[in-house]
Amino acid sequence: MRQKLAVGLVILISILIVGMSAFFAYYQAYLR
Amino acid sequence: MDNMKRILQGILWIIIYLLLTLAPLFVLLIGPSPEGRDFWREFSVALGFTGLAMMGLQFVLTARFKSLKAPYGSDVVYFFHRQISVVTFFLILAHPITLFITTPSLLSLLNPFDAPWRARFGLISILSLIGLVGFSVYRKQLKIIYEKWRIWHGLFAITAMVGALFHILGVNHYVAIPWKKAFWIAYTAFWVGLILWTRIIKPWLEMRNSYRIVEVTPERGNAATLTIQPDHHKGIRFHPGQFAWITVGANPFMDREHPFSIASSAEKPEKLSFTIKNLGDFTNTIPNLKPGEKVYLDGPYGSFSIDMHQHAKGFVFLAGGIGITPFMSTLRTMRDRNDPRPVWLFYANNEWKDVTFREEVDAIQSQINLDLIHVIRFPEDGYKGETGFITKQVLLNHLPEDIAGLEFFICGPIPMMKASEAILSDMKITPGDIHTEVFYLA
Repeated sequence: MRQKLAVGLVILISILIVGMSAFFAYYQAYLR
Repeated sequence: MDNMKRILQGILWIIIYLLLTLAPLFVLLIGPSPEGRDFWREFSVALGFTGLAMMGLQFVLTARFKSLKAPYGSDVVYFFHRQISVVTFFLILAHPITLFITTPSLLSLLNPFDAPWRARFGLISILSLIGLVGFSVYRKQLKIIYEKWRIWHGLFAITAMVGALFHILGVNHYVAIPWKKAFWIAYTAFWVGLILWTRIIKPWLEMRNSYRIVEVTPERGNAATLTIQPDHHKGIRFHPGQFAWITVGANPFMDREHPFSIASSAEKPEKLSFTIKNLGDFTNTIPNLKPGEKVYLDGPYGSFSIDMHQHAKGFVFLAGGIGITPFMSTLRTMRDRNDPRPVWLFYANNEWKDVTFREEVDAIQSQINLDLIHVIRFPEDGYKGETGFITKQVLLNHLPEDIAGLEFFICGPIPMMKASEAILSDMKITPGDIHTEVFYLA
């Protein structure tokens, strides 16, 4: 059960990190 | 520690993880920063920076900080370390691959003979990372022993981090401003410092607080009990069910340490005992150890303890084979504390003759409120108890109808733990009341 939660956490963190990296790139490429 | 506090602490650590991964990236945008380039190039660079920060954070996860592990349990922290490392690996790999796809001319940077140093460092970092992940995933197939792997793991990790730092400094695009350069150097140095803390400074502290072997006793089930006592110092206080990392013989720098549950009573910390099954690796040296030999100990760790659940009305323990050791510590502690709360111990073994601590558990039955249920997979003629595996029916045969307020603990081989967890969730036990300790961390 806790391992399932950990997998969920890894997926959530990965999405947030890739998303924020894309936001960084978008900001650099288009917003400035 | 009650559940709510653990959940809040758990969430806090996740937020800190995200901040430590993403904040350094956005620090690059503070003050004068370079003109933007095309999206994919910037995205690739962002993945590189976050990947490096995630690599650094991997060191924290294995640096054995007690407060970090308390809300989750050590096994989950290691599990997370392994899972997130795969994500980190692909994010970092995506950095050069994205660049090569969008700008194929950059492929020439892969030739280490002609490439500038900034590209060579990038390549060193990526190759170290491939080595790091490859050695970890295929360690068993490559027949690399745990101790050697651990040294390589540390070396690859440091090379990957330092290589990446020099790559960033060499490219000098986002870190052209001196304070940004200093920030990234300090950030990387901090993580590398952490691994040095775990592998060098901590062992040095352990060396000053060594233990001596008092006796080594053979036990049923191809196991042996190692009893140790502090060598001219106070020793440690621990909770029943916790474990410690042990280094035997060599010095603690030798990376020969292994995690083992403490089996003795938490009320008698002046002598610690560890019961270790011979699994054919390092563990086969245990029976040959002699009284008087030095042992180094790092611990206690883990939250697999009844002490974390003070308000529980009773406990249900599901033990598989040598997974009995944390429960042994718990039963002995409850006996020494005169703890009146009821305990149901379901103890699964292949054969009756191999049931470790059979006689002592039987004796403890008359000293505390313990209901002992043996489950034997291959019973001999005349055996009258439960047979096969621990199943839902076996649990229902012995547990009371009202199981509200009971806390469930499982420890044993991984397939047994998975099956037991499934049974308990089928019995509608709240996940927060089920506690597990993966026994074989390595």
